[in-house]
Amino acid sequence: MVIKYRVRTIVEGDVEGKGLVINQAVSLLGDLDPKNGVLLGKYFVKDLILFIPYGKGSTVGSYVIYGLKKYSNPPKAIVMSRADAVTITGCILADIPLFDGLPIEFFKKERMIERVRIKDNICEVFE
Amino acid sequence: MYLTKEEERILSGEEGEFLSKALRVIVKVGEVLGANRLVPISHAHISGVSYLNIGDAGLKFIEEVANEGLRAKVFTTANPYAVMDIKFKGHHLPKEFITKQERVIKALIKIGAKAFTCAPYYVRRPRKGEHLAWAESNAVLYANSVCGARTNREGGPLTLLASLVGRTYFGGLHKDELRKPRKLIIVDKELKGTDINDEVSYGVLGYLIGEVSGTDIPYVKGVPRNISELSLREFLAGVGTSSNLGLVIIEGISPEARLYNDQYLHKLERVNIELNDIKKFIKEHECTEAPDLYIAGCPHLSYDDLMKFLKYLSNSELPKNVDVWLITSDIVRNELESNGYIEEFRRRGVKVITNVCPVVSPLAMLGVKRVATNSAKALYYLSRLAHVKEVCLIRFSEFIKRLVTHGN
Repeated sequence: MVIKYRVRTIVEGDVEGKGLVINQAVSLLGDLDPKNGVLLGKYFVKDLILFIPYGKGSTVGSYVIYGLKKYSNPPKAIVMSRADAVTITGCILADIPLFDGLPIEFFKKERMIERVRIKDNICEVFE
Repeated sequence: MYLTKEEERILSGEEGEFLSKALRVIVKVGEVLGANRLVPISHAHISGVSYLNIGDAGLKFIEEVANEGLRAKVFTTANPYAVMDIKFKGHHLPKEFITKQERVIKALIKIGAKAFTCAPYYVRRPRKGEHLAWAESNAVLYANSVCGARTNREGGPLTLLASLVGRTYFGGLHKDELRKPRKLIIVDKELKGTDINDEVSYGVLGYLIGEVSGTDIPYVKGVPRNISELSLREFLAGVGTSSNLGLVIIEGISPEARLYNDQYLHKLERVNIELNDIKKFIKEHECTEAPDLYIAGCPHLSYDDLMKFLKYLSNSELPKNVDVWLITSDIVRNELESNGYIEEFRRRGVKVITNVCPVVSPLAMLGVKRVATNSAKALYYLSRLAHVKEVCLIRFSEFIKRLVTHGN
């Protein structure tokens, strides 16, 4: 089944790939280890399209996203319900595509998604 | 977003790729937050300086900026860094940590940072109405609420980028309409004249006000006009700890307070803070056992605070088994030094330490287990960031009195 969502493009990029949905706000500083590319101690984020409802916590978080790129572990894109200044700053510096505007219900369940395609402000989810 | 010709020029890359990216970050964040133009700033204050917090990724980024040859276009200060060469009961920090922290500092100095302090308002006091790009919550609250200047509570990298382009986005607290109070906080009677009139109580009061305000800018009645500078700083630091607020309007202190009459204020949701709430909080964090270390200076102490503390110390010499750190900036310390007072502290066994922040330092690595402090903000972060096992609250004068009377 394909569901289409309209999203807002904050950092441009057409992307396609596997998705990972996190069901809680993420504090980039503390929850994400840039050196190993591990989120919440269990997920490798490299090359995934990462769905996070929103960010929280320290403003140092931008450096963590930048670090993902520097250590060659960047996700293909980040998609949020509501983007915040910390995440936006990190994504622009690291050239990681960033979108927001997904309904919060989308993030109810933590899960992998087989295929996601984002282009022209449309996010297609195949699950 | 509307951009001037010069801003368009920077964005198009005429001043280099990195500056174009810097401006793009500011424009994008501004667009998401509803800004329709940029605004020139007179002072940037950068956070994200401690290597403990920013790690290798932050170090790389700041070094990249410095090595690109980019320099601050406006007056720039930075937050304090982690303690490095200080010894605690014979322990010291690993060489690698110190080397990397030194590299962050060196790069920031190259970019143009003029001071490392969390109280940049003592280095250059902003004027009313001035636009700034400041990070560091207590500084942002002081600039907006006491000086009447305008800054959002920005993140570390954004303020660094703002210093390079000399601008930030015109949104949030830069705009009149977003600086209006939306909650009325009544402190049940003037704190002055009760036994609650010290820096600890005001820090806790601020913390409680931050908690009940949420994201609504509060208008606070009941803080006395003649509150000491130390208590005022602790109060604002407390607000910043428990909330994301960048402005609190304090009657009798904030320049903007006079814009709001009783008719306006009566329409706001009203919350009372009881003295008992403050007492209860302090009681829960009372010092019951002797600490290894006492810390005052979160936020950094002023010249007058230190002179007052020296008076409390009188002629007593402190017991050898307790360390006392009083934290401030080089600017304040140099003034004390030239007047001969640093020697007075040294003689009493008290360290006056500059440019650092114990809260963002690996104190657990130094073997620190139990800390007493007069700061509600430090109480919160020492356990969370510095991983100190036990932290308790006690005002400086009281701590000294106990040490001297009872020994330790």
